Amino acid sequence: MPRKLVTGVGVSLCAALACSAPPAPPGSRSLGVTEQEIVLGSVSAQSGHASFLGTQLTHGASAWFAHVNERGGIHGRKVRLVALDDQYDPPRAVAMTQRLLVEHGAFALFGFVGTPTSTKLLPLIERAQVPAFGFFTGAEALRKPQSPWVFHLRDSYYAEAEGAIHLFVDRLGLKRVGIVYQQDAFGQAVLAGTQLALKRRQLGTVAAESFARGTLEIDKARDAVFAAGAEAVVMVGTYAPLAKVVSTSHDAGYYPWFHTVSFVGTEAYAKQLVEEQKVLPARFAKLLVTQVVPSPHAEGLAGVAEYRAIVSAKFPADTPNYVALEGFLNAKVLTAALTQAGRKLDRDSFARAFEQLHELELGIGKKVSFGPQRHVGLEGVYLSRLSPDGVFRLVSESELAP
Amino acid sequence: MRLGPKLAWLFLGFILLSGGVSAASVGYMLDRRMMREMETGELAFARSLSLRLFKSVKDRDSIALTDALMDELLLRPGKLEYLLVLDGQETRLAHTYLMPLPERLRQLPITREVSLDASHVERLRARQLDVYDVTVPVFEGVSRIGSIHVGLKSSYLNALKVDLFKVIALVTTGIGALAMLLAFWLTRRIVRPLRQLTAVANQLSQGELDVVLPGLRTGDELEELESSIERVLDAVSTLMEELDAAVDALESQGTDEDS
Repeated sequence: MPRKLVTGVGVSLCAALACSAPPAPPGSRSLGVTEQEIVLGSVSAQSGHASFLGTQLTHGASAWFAHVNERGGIHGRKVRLVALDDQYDPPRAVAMTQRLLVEHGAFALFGFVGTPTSTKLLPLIERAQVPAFGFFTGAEALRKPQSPWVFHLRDSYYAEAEGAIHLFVDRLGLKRVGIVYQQDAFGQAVLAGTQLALKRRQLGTVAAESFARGTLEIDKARDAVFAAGAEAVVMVGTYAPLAKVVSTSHDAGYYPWFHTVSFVGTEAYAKQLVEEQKVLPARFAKLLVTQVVPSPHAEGLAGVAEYRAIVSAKFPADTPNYVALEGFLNAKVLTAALTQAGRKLDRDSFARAFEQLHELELGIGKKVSFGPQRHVGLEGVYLSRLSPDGVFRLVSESELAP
Repeated sequence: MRLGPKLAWLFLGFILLSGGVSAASVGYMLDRRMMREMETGELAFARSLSLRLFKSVKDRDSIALTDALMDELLLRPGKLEYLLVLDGQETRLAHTYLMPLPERLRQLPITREVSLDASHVERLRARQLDVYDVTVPVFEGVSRIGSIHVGLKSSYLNALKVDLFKVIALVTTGIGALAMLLAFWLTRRIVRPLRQLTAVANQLSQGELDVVLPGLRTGDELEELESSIERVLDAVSTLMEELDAAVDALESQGTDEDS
């Protein structure tokens, strides 16, 4: 064994560690908090096939932060959001998160997109003991068991699946539910939620078939639910393959209810259905997406109107969408928690401040509450249906099941 | 010093000495065992990393390296302080810290020569830093293109030793307390009869023969001592009676002669 005990390897090691390292602050729990600013770190897809989600989530949030900063910030400090690009790639998400914490000295983490990326970061968040909020995913793994450092505004995929199954089984009286899902952690999460929701009603899926992520090879999965005679189909994946499932089913004369969850990217899904797959408007009525925030087009909700006004001022090229609205609402909750934590701010007090947010009014028709045993602020889901004008709009259960 | 404290200190000293010797022996054996474990187990781990990460080191792929190092670190919670990959020029490619790198590492003085080609195990201590740094080179053929560093927390290695020391200290304290109770009980059992017998002897020395013996039933030397005193007392009483009788006889003989 070529072992040699050498006294001195630490020299080059330490020299290497020293290079390009910023000076360590006196209190690492207050890292990223200065007299003038609070540094927040975000890692999401800013490029690549999921870039719409990452950029819009960041636009919504940064518009609110800019709005707050223009009014003096929080307890005299400006909020600075450092957004890095993970290209929806889990290893890159890890490296970028480390860069945020080490090189940018982020005080807290905010704004993530995707189940595989976010779940990969969970052990790091636990290890660093850094508060993290604003995950654009409903993955159950990020919610149970509850982490003391992880907080969510949106409800879980289990809740979205429950909302859809409640409509199909309890309100519409359907018994035959199939599922077509993307073969990855995201697909598995929604599949599990759907199966649990059906099991609570002494039912099971009549067909459950997967397809490979990043492909349009959905024929086998579609044929499986068709052959099983599913009256309602839960779909999990990105907008392009899901729109193809719908259009090819219609081509075959198969018209079940089609549902998918909020992560699909509602606007891109609608566009794909209407413009690319040419789904007929007469068939729009049975195309549903569950949402975890209200419609960005909703009238009569002060919070949504505020979102449209502020984001359109900062990003005039953007059109209102669910993702940006969620980013905007996330940012509002985060600044409320920062305000609650007070001027003397550290990571521990900030996490506890989240738990002290009760009945927070965001102007969206529901109040947001957290607590020591509740790290999901907004419980419950909304149903949206493709309207004749090609936009997914919120609908009530009574409209869908008179 | 009286007998009671003497016994107590003797017992306690013996117990503490036994505890100390046990702790030192256990510490010595564990030190040897842990060093052997580290020099084999951790070096093997570092070597397996160097083989697995060879391609990423060669490509200088910091993303893949960071991801791999984090996975490895998280599989060993509480054991590793850091994992670190350096290139051939000792520039950092990836590491596992999640906060600005510790000041303590930056302040180590550069004073010694470094062997670049061999594997090393060395203890690094500076301020709050206390790790065993296990280093293996990454080779491409005969060229060294980087190195893998595994920072094993000394606290992890010492945890078992600390736990054992705690147990030894607890047991020693418990036994010490029992020894003190035992000493107290023995003292009462031995010293009390001795005091009673001493009191009897003192009365005897002052000519008081009308004494009451404690009536020991210990079945040991103390009971024998009481029996001896009793016999002495009987003998003295008999002698005194004989003496009194002799005196009486002499006195009556004198009276007869006078009359």
